[in-house]
Amino acid sequence: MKAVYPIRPEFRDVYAASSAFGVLGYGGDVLSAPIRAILDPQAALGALTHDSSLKLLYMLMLFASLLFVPFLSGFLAVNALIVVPFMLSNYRPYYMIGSYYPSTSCHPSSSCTPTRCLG
Amino acid sequence: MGSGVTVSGNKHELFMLASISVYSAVFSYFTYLKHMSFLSYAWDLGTFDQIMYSSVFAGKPFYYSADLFMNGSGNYLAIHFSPILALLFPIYYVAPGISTLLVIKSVAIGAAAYPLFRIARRLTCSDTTALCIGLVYLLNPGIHGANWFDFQPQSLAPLLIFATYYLLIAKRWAYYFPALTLTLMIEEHVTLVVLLLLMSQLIHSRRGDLKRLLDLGLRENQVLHLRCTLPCVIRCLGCDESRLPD
Repeated sequence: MKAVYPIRPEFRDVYAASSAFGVLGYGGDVLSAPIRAILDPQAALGALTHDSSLKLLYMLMLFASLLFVPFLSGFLAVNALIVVPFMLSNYRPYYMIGSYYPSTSCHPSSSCTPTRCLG
Repeated sequence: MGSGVTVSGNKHELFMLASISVYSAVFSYFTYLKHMSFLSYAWDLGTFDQIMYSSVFAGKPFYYSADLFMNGSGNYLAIHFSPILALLFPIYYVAPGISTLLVIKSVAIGAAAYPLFRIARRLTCSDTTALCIGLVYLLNPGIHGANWFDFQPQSLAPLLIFATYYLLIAKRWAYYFPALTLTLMIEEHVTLVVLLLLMSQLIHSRRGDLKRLLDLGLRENQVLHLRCTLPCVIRCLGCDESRLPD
């Protein structure tokens, strides 16, 4: 699809949303950000603590309504792989209520809950 | 007992459907009110309204102009792979306008509670727990925030992902594959969510299979152990081995 409808090279950074992980000292592809975090744990810690109060509030809003039951489920790994890159970001819509991004992280946590209730 | 459970289950299901209807109606109304108060934006409501209008009435499929500075073709598929939008073209043709998109979004997000209710009921075997989980989803501030902000094809993700997951655990393959195809048509990133859910389900089911296999293996080992040791014990006790049952 990218070959059929090319993106102008001078705006490739805008297209790739590279600035969303600026706090991680990273300007590449979003999907490779977790690898960068593993290779540089200090930068990852810095990224995690950036806007920490907002990130904590986001986690509370995401899981408190489910009584933190998803934390007891192995299915949480699904959620973690989506939420952790959001937590490493400095792009606020990724970790704030009000944008559409939580719609991709809310439903795995909801499906974790009955899985755990099953025992 | 059985009929009692069914009546109770139906009551819960009706309550769930009523809650979904209320949620969809309230959010359709208030998001429309938000738009009429000039609180909607070119990114993303304007973008998707233009995509719908140009596809249905102007003969330019998926065309929009907000990102022409970087996407010279103006085709939305260059930014995100969301062919599922084409399924909304007929609805937009019948009722063109912003309100159509806002209603579709609210109904789709609200309706996702129903497959979640079915998943929870199947896994927990409790109508009350299933109802609680469905209601918690409808009351989740993350979902409200996502519903409140303009229109995006990702709003179809909860409904289709829950439906796909339900059909997977219910093993209703005739419906599962079309649902999976629709889910993958939402956006390229949804592939990751689907992949992770499928992997988790696979690991979960494999773990169950492994446990069953181990149980079976242990039982067979016990039988083998008895077959080997019992004759020796009997011989030691001086009994007639030929009188033992096979």
